[in-house]
Amino acid sequence: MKNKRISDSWEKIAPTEMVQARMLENILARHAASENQKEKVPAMKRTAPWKLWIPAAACLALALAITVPLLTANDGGGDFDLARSDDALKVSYVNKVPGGRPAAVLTSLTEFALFNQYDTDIFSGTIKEVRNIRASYNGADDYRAIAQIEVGTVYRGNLAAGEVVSTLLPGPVSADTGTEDTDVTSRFAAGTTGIFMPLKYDETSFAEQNGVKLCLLDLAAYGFMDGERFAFLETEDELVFNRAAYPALDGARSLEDVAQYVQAMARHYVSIDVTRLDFASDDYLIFHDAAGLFVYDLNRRQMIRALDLEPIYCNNPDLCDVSVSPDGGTVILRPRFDLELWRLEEDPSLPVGDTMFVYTVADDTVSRADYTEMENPFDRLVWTADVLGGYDKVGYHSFKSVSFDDGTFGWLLTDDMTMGTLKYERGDESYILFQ
Amino acid sequence: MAKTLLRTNKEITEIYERHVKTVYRVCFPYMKSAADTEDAVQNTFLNLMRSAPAFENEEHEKAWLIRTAANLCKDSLRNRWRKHEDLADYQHLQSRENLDVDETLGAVMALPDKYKSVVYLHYYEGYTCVEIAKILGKPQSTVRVHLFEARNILRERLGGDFDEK
Repeated sequence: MKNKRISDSWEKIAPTEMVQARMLENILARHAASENQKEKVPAMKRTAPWKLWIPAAACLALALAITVPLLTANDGGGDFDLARSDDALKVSYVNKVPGGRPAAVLTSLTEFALFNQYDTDIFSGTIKEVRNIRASYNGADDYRAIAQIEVGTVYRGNLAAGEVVSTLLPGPVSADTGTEDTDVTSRFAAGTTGIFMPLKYDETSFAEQNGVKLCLLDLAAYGFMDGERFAFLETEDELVFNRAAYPALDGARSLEDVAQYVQAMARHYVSIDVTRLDFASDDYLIFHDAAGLFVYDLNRRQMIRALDLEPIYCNNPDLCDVSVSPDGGTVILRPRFDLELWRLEEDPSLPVGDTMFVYTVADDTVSRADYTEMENPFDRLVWTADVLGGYDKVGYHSFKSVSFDDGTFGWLLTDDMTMGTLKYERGDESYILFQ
Repeated sequence: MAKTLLRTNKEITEIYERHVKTVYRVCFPYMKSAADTEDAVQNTFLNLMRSAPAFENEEHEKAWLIRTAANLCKDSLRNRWRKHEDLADYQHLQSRENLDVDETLGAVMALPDKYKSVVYLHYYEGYTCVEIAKILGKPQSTVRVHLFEARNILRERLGGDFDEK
């Protein structure tokens, strides 16, 4: 929807009447000039047909002599063995790719989802080779690339250091194509180091065009979900990755910065979604994830409240701001529709304006109101990585811990990434939350 | 009904007058100077004359011009290896070229190029993600991602309330 501030600024940018007239004059003049140029090509003199035949034959022979070697040079290698794909498909290595603007598809993913929505392996490594390919789907051509990456450190997945894995890129690697939304993968080059998050293919991984199916496993063992957000590259000049997708890495300047972050995020591949600790006192704690908002009584060692967040549009922890009063008695939940523009456009049932839901713990009630910021919210949450001394010390902990006056810290922890083993720890005390 | 493909100068002039400001506003954040923007605008309409597409209606016509203008600008920039500049660099434009580039537009111009058309179409023209996807020929999900990321950057540069109603 229109934004007044941006509209007003942009409105000031306009060509004057004089500039408009000048541009139009130039356009018409340049077009007329190019049309005139076409008409000036002289017509060929008519020649007896048999005299034309001889030069044509000579031309054809010359053309064949030049073209055949060029074709061979352009298609620089053999076809792939496409045992699992349709017969009508052909895939070849190519040295040149055509210009154009095919666009890769980006899916709306939060920073957390980038690590957990797909079953990606995560590892550091060095690119050994990149080659472009052309897949011909019964006449429709698709250009991509395959990169061979030597694995270094494995953060997630069943890989070994030194192993070389083949990865399919969402577009070709070429300075000329301008494939949009492949800002990172288009920078793949032999010798470049990086951290990579490709999806492991299996027999059910397919691409289809023109009614023809390609089993991606026929081309590579892995593939990148898009060309922007699943790789971090360290080139000679800079660290290349999509900074807008990873706000937590805003200050990252080296691959080492990324490695620490990735190491922590890779471990939070939890089927219960990342659980956020919102509040803790000596008596109870409040936490939430996609399953709901929970209040646990530490004295009675039992859950006393469980609020379903879906009806109040807060079942995505990345898209709901939570604030708790200092005594833990009130929770404000603010669904961030503004971060999901498509929902506002496509779902007319959503509340209009900036809404909040106020949950009162004592009487277990929820009320809706226009959003206002909570004054003096609970502010004892600290980064668990800071408490433990680095991201590499963080296991399956909650990102945030609560700092207590006695010097102890309380955090959530799971042993095996399931809700059944989710516990709260503070000092020597441990509470299994879902029994 | 589709327009005839071969257009007279008069028809081209009519299309030009309908959309020249739009095309100019699409090109300016990419090209960042009046002279380069004028070149890009002219090339867009020349492209129209050469490729002579048929349009179903004026909205279709506008969408074609916006997409063509954005693509031409990106191609031009790729060829020139331009780099992103500091917001402060835009201040000189005001005095030299009589263009009022304020802090807000400066922040938009400092965005990565891939976001600019989407930001223009959403925040200036008021199109939805679905409509923007059709105009630019991109998947809807990609448009949403670009808007989301651009929005985060703009919030950081302009303050969290820049898009509050």
